[in-house]
Amino acid sequence: MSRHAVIALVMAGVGALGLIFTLSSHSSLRDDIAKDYRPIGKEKAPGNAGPDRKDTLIYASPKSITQTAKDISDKHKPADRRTTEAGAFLRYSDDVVSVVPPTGGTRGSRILVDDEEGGYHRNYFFVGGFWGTYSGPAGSFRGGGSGAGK
Amino acid sequence: MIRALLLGLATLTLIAAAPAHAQIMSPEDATDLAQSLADAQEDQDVCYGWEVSNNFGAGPDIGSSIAGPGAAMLDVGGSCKRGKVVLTGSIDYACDSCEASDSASVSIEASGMANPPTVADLEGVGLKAGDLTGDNDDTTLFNMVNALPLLVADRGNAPYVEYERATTVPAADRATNKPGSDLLRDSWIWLLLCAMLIAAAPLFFFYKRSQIPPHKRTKKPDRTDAPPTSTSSEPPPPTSTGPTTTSTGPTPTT
Repeated sequence: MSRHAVIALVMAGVGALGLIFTLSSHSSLRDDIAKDYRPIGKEKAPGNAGPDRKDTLIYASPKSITQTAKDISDKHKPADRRTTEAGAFLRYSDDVVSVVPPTGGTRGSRILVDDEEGGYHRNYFFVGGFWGTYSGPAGSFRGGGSGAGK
Repeated sequence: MIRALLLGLATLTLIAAAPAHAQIMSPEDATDLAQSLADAQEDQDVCYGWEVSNNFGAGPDIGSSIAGPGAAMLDVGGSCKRGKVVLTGSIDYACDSCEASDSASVSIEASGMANPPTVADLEGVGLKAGDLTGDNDDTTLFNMVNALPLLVADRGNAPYVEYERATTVPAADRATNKPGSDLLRDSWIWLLLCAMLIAAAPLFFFYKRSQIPPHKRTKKPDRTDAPPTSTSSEPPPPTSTGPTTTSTGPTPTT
């Protein structure tokens, strides 16, 4: 066998091994979140019922909202993201991850993992018109108030 | 209540009077943004605003949680108990014949808080000033300003704005433009490199093969120029290493 044939075989072999490694080492978003954060519970996903629908999974993170969203997006690059006044929302092929304030004034953040329909419904106020259609009311400015009464 | 109604009326007047696409953000988006900031202000006691100028003849994008879109921030009645945060910036488009490229810069001006958010925080959530010169400049500006209350809370200056899930969504509204594969988005560079390596292997082999002259590509014949083996019956010459003797006398004859 000629030297060139050996080199070509090595190139193809390295490429094939690289493909196999890349495909086999890619973990799923849901698995990684389940591994990295403390599960709190699950609930029925918003939106229409259907056989393909998945429950909403809820986790707790000890880190702040932006840091938690950054950790998740560093590991799994989202197709789109929104950072709003009330949370950070990451959009994936089949999933929507919402990182929102924790309940009860505790520290850290809360992570909600929805399927696409559930995530769009749940976060309609924040992602409506950005990730899909929006026919909500076009509001006029009502002012910020004085902050009294809180 | 009266103040809110007056502000709402002023906003509607501004929207009606503004020429189409005078600023980067549409009047409707500016109103939505000011409203979300106003809601955040109610939860946090922090006032928010934005003021971004440009050099393409349109008026600057201005708005605030107190005065609404189109109006600079004015602290009315001590609403900003925990401070003020304003996103300021400028967008400079280079002329077509200029060598310079478009540029944009933003900064966050805060007062009344110990640990204000920074531009690095915006970049940390994927919002970069350079995107203000792109096609989605309006969305980028909206997102930058909209993120301020979360960044303020993340740094401990105020409580988080309460998250409320939507309970009713119009039946016609749904997510569109479904994203592509997560695997490809995460690993496309490695998949591409490996595929290129596999594709390059036969190309390399055939290219190298084509560089070899045709008469050398065939199998080499057995070598025939080896030294001939002796067929003589004569005995090999003596290989003695001892001293040789030569006769010098007359050859006997019979």
